[in-house]
Amino acid sequence: MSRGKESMPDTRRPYPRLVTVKFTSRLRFDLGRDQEHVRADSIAELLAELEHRHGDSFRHWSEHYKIFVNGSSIATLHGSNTKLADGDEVVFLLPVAGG
Amino acid sequence: MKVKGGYFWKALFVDLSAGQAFGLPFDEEFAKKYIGGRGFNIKFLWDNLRRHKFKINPFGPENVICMSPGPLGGTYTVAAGKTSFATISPATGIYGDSSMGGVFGPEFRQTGHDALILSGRAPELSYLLIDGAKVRIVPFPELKGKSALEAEGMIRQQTGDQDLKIAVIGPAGENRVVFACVNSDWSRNAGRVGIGAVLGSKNLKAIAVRGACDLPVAEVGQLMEITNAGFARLKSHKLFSFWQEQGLMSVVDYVNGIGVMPTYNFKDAHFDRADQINGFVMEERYKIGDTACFCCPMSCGNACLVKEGKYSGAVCEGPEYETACMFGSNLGIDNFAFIVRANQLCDELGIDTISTANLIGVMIEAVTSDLVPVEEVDGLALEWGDEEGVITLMHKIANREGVGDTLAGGSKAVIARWPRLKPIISQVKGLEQSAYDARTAVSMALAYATSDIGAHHTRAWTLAHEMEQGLNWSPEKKVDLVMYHQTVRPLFDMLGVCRLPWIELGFPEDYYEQAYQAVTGVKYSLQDLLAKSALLYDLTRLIGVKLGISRQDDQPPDRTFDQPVLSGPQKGKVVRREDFEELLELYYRKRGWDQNGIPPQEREREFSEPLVSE
Repeated sequence: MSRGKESMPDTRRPYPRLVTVKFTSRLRFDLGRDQEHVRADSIAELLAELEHRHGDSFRHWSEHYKIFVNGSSIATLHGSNTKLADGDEVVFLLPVAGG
Repeated sequence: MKVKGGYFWKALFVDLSAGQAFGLPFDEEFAKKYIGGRGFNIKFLWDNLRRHKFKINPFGPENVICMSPGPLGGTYTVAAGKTSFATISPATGIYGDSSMGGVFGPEFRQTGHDALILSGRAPELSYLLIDGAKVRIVPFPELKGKSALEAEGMIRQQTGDQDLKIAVIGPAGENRVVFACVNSDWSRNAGRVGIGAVLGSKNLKAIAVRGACDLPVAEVGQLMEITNAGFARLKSHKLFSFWQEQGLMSVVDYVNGIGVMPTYNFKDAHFDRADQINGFVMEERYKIGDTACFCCPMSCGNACLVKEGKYSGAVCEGPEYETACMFGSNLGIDNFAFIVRANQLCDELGIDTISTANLIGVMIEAVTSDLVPVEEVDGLALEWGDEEGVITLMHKIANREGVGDTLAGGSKAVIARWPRLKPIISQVKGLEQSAYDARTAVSMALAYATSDIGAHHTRAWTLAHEMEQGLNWSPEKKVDLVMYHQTVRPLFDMLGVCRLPWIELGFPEDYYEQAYQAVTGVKYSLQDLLAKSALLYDLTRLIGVKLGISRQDDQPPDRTFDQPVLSGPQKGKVVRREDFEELLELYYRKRGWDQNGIPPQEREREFSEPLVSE
């Protein structure tokens, strides 16, 4: 048995990418943390994981948050389909428009 | 279309030299063309420039200060507490304006005037008292050197009227610091371009107003209905309570988060200690209450008090984001208590927080980089984070002592004394850059370069829009964005309302069309109003051109091109000069200006009819 198991090819999906998520403003306050590490291959997966972890505290502001990956807004990338890579920094920001 | 409300049909003209005041009537055509506020002010300035054949010394008695709240100012309109000031700026030598919130503008309107024009120079330090139709220039030499707050108190005591609304200058205005402010209601300021210095040059310490007139409104019921609905809409916004809690201080996290927060004299755009000076630190440790302008439920003013430590007792309304950034990250300071004290001191001395901290940042870099020897800054061994040094320089600026005398002359004076500092001074046309880095968004560089008063963000704050959605936009779309901002934002200053409900909480633009129609009875659409605003951008440009501005002045600060961002999410970013020039070329073409940025000659004729005959 053990030999057979060892010889089987590894068909599991590789671990999702490990990214750093930074929370700012009200979200940081509500979640009680300024950052955490999350495994996700895309923004859509990341959002699902954060909703799973934090529930309503995360969902409450979700329609307002602007999301930046390594300094670029996901709106200028591929929206929720934006792919993530290991070490990416994803920042959640409440929108403002200056004085 | 008849104008049925919104105006008293006269501007108050005060000749301080002659000690005379009289009403200048205007007609419907004037009101419909220039709307009010910024619009009236620009036209008055233009007429005065023509009268003096465009030879104006900003500190000469021939310069005028114009002030107008706009037809919605003081009415039952959302956030109708704004009033605009304009003059030929001593900082830039061209058109300069600033708007001030609070309740001063609404009270002024109740005196029965739509605008104020100040000309000449009083023989001794005085204040102007406008009590309804009664106007007096009151000599009061004892006000000399008094802080803005002290002077307010002394005038109230002398008149015995505790309800006077007063716009006042501090010692910096008396000393003609070119970025001196006009202050009202504790800490509402008309800043940036040196309105306070021009008031000081006229020997006028303050304007005190008391009014009791009902404001003329064409359709009161309609105005009540749309404004009640507007208040309900604002309050139902999910971010409304957060806005009340933090106001503009919420900008710290956003701007640092996307990497555009000026740090260490604009060398960097990310501050690793920003969480020590953000809105949450303010809320948790310093905020003691909310303050609001006339008719505004957003109450974005944050009254702050330092309760312990070195700055214990320091108190101010604010700080706003720009102050927190410029006195914080831009000077390498992470102490919010210090920022409260610096804000308070700026209000007392009557100096602009952005320009003051911008220039102090320049001097810290100059000293720490050995560009200027310590002996030339009065022996101050300035360093990043040097709170004592910053406060010392603030006093020196306001009192024009030692090196402060140079700094009090603004960027132009600093460059004149130390030409080698030009590459490290972030300014446009002599006005110091405000607290948003432009190296990531070329539209923001264009916004600073083409702002009609210099490097201020008020005219066009395109930074977030481009970074959130438009980094890959075509040059044409980026230019359109800048021009749209330069058209819609000044409209708020023409009407006499605050732009923040629209900017921050998505308040709909068509509300302002409805409010204008209800107040005046004139059925102008939003597009009609925007067309008036756009026309005025040509007029401020004409003023600039007549006073020597051309394409070579329409350049963003040098660091936009030459100094890559040092750290944070935008590390390494600069604007490519050719990208900027492409946008500038396109911008001129879309505005109908020539390649040197000059509007067509026939445009002048549109503004040739003076309110008062020559």
